[in-house]
Amino acid sequence: MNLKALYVDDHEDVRDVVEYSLKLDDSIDVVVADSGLAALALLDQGRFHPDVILLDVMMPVMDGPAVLAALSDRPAFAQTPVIFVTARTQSREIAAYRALGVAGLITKPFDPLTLARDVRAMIAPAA
Amino acid sequence: MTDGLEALRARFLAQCAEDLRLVAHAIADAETVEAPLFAQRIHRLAGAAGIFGFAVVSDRARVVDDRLTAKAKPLLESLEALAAALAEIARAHGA
Repeated sequence: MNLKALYVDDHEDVRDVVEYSLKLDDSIDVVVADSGLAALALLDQGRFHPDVILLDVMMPVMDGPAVLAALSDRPAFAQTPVIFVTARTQSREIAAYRALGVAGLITKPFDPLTLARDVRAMIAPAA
Repeated sequence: MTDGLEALRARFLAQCAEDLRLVAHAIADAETVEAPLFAQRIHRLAGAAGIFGFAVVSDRARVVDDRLTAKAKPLLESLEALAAALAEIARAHGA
């Protein structure tokens, strides 16, 4: 069964390159949303239940951490692994994001050719 | 790089001309850096430029982005450095 991924980012070019990169892995199905609100609306419709959710951290109106908090309030998605994608690279910020309980953190710039593998590694059960 | 990524990179390059115009405008008129659109474009550059292989633009945009995130005005020299990097890739790639 394919891995179902949701990627949320307000920037079209990054959104498209993440979607493209993940689809380089034939066994990943990707749905994208251009805002946290759009992502939550999509999830609340119940027609797509992702196995992993990738969230850009800095988005207008509702940033990544706010979306993560909203997901934790939804029993259907509270246990879904979330990965933050961020251009912020200062160690204090990275530590703060990790403390929120995400499954992983991808910093931009990332390598499009290895993104799918990196995502899979972050959500793989510990051996 | 795959054909698909090349196409996305070409689209990114096409947008760099507008980014350069925005940064040049900010150099001429410091007040424009307070516009939300400016911060969004700089943040996009910091994140996307490196993905497409433009590390210098990404690094210089991140310097500006750090200041904007801290609610501080970017230093003039950091804006000029970013404009120079954008102008360079425009020259090199005909953006």
